[in-house]
Amino acid sequence: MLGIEGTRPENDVQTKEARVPSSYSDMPNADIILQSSDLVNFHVHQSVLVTSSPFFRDMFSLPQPPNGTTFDGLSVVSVSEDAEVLNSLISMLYPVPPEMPHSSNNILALLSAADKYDMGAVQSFIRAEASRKELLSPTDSGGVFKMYAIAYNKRLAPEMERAARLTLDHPLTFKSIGEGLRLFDGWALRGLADFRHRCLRELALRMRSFLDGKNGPSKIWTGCPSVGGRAFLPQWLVELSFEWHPSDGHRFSNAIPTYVQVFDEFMKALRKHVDEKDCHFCSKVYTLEGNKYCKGMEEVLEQARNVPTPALGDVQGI
Amino acid sequence: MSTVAAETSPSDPIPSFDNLLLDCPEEGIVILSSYQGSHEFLVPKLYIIHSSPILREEILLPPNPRPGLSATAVQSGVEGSTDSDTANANAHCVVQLPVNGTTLISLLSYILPVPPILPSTAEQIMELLSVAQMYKMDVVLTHLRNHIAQRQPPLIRKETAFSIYALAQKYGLRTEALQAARCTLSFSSLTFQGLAEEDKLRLMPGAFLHELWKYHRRFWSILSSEIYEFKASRVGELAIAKDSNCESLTDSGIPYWLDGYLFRLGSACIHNFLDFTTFHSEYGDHSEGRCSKMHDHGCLYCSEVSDEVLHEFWEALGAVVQGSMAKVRFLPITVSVDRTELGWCTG
Repeated sequence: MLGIEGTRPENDVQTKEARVPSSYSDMPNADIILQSSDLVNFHVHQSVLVTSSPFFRDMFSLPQPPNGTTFDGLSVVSVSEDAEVLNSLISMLYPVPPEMPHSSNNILALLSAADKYDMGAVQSFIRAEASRKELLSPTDSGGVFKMYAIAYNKRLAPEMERAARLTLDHPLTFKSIGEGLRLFDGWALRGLADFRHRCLRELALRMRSFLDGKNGPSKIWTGCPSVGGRAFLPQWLVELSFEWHPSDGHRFSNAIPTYVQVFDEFMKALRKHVDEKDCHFCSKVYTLEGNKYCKGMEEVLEQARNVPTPALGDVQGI
Repeated sequence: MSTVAAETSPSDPIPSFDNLLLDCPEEGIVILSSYQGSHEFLVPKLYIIHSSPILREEILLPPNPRPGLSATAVQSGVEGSTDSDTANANAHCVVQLPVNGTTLISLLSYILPVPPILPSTAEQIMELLSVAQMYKMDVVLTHLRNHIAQRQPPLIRKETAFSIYALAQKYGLRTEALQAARCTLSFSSLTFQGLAEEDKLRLMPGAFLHELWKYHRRFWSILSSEIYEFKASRVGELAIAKDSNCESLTDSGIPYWLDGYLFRLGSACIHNFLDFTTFHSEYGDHSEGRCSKMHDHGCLYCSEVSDEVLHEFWEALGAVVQGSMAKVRFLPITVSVDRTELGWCTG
């Protein structure tokens, strides 16, 4: 047997019932079998593998062992991917409709396989498909943290980065990670904690400038009759700033606020202030400069989330 | 016994083995370490056979050539020994253990009638325990654990609990994992924030951390109901609350401050729950009037409560906490031991 991921006893294939999916059972002129980890045989063409994968090209250029395992007279190459992932991978090598795996776990496994076999074009295609169909966009906290852990383990940097940013919408707690915690490497957890800490620090820094009533964008509100104290801000904005501006006691394990959340709170506070105090000044400022001000607020929150994510290369053991 | 360091790793100095030198009888056996350089020790077979049923089986089985057996290992002589010693070693059974030289020396010191050598680092101690456990060396394990229990400072303490827990899980040492997990209960509320601030996150894989978290949850759940039971049935009988004339009593006749303390303890709001100082400080707040609900003069009745009464309560509460700990199920992560990695023997 030609082993990509180690070898099995030669008799293995003969003693265990190997299944053959219909799509790949009667492939004309197939000259090699790829056998999945769950013993499903895919009859394929060596030339197709060689064309799309430098890995297979190099492998097939080496002399093959004379006592390699065969099935139906074809050499068997045993791979570590399961049938669903292997089926998807092969579907992307032939002029047939590509079959994306059903679960995000398997999509990540597929990306990892494409990376392992040096199939750059296939990997780009999978990423484009996943992005177009939003296949790697979990919304629940468990799914997000799990995606980060799997992407980290499989060294899929873009997916890890994306997942790390998605985790910011969720608290970093044992409950929110759930069973997915079992997939985490210790360094992955540390990297994620560092990333969130840096985001929080960045947010604090940028919010401080943004809420500076003397020199920052928030100085537009200083004409409000309720302005008082050293903040040069109207009282309603001072109160709001306590919630926005992460203090020393703020915990990176909390979710980082999104622009939508902050904007909602801002609008509520402004409306309440205008209604209760009948503040024409704030009402007028919002009408004239509200859009620009909110745009600035959005940028602050975006920039805070854009700090570099944990880097695979910086982590021990990788 | 003759010893040899066939290849000494410069970063891993081997402790002196002078005390382990024994006259090797004819029935000797060569024990070989396989990690970080190979070290060989010719030791009396009898001790090895009696120390481990697994090694006994390996040694007493008829010679069975193993495909992985290194010819050089079998034929390498014992450094510093005479030619006849070398020939003798070659003729002896060879057992290779998956440990480094330091751990092997410590292990042999617990098997042979010589002063035991406990390794200096926690990692090495845990590795030693794991090897003893892997080979089912029950007497060695007991001896070793007794030795560890006498160690000062203790092996498992606040500063080391997390790393010992991680190592114990890694090596499949249930006893030590449980002891370390219990230790973490007394000082850690187990949050990512806290773990990150103390740089503990990198210490262990998520699977171990997840198990520890579940252990903590189970403990707090049990403690909560045990505290409720304690409050309902026992506290009123203790001198601290019996016929109390405290100025601020609950409907059930327990001083409010004590009721609040127990409530917060059961709600996992007190981190140092095994710390008498925290308890005494709360008592002081009440009896000396530092509590906002009390008058400035404090509670005259409670201020006269004796230390004996406080200690009686504290001991009763400690029994509840210890009882809760004993009730918590602990499920170590299963570490599969591959028998092919246990070592090999050839005669």
